[in-house]
Amino acid sequence: MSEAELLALTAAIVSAAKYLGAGLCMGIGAIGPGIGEGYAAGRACEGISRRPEEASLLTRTMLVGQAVSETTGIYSLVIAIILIFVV
Amino acid sequence: MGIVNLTALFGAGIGMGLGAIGSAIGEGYAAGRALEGMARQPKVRDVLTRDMLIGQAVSETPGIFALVISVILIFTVDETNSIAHAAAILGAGLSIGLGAFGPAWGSGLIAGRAMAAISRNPSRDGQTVRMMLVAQAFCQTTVVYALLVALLLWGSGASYAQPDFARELVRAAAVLGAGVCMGFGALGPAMGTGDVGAAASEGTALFPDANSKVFNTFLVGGAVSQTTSVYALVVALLLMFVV
Repeated sequence: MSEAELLALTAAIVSAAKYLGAGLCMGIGAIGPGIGEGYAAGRACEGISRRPEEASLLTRTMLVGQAVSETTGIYSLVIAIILIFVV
Repeated sequence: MGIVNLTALFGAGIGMGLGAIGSAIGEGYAAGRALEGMARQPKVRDVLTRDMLIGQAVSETPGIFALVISVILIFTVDETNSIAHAAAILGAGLSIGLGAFGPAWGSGLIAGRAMAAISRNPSRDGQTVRMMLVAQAFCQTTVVYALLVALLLWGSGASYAQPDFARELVRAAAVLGAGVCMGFGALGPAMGTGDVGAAASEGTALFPDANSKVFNTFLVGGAVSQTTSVYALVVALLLMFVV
């Protein structure tokens, strides 16, 4: 294999690894927020069913809690986008 | 671009992906238990919201470590063609990715059960939050080991290169093994410490008379459950520096 071909192959393999990494990053990173936010929403529903007059308070707090849980999912999205477009 | 970039980019992706799981699950759990408590006792909503955010912030830190290592691996890796170096970088990503799950999940578990207990006994709010923070700090020790191993694997840079292929292969296996060792080793002990910390926080809120005994048991029991993470750290360091 010539020098140029070897260089091209290396670049191709690095690109391949980059895209695979981005995919795994976002894919696996999506697991956690799904589970955590779902659990928070579930407890909110239970609370509202027990005390409907507190619905707005519970919904507001649920969204705050879910936003915090979302943050690492956002980090994964950012890293995936960086891997795909920036590097 | 060299072979190292292959595993650097892949390792960054998988490190952030794995590292995101624990924080999100733990924080969601904490929010859920806080909501449960608020539904039961609307009077304590401000207290619970504040405490929940404090607990969630601690649970977030392993995710932040994973983000930092990811960015470091993407942008600041020596671009060599050494297989051993490439394996070390992959090990770094796996170390923090796997290692972040346990501490984050454990800290979230502690925060959640502390919220539930505070809602049942709001007068013990201050002491319970203190116990929660102590327990969460104990839980976080293993992610510090994982971060240390990840930084050591990244930092040794081009010094991994060996004169011939056979030695490169051996070194590559050793350093990759080090990363995976610390990653898994940080996982379990933190989950166990999360369990004992959660029970200790509950006890602080609900059974004030038993406080000192509960705290002592928490320390002893938590320390015993942490021992295997120290063994994992020792083995990881041996694989990196002695083999």
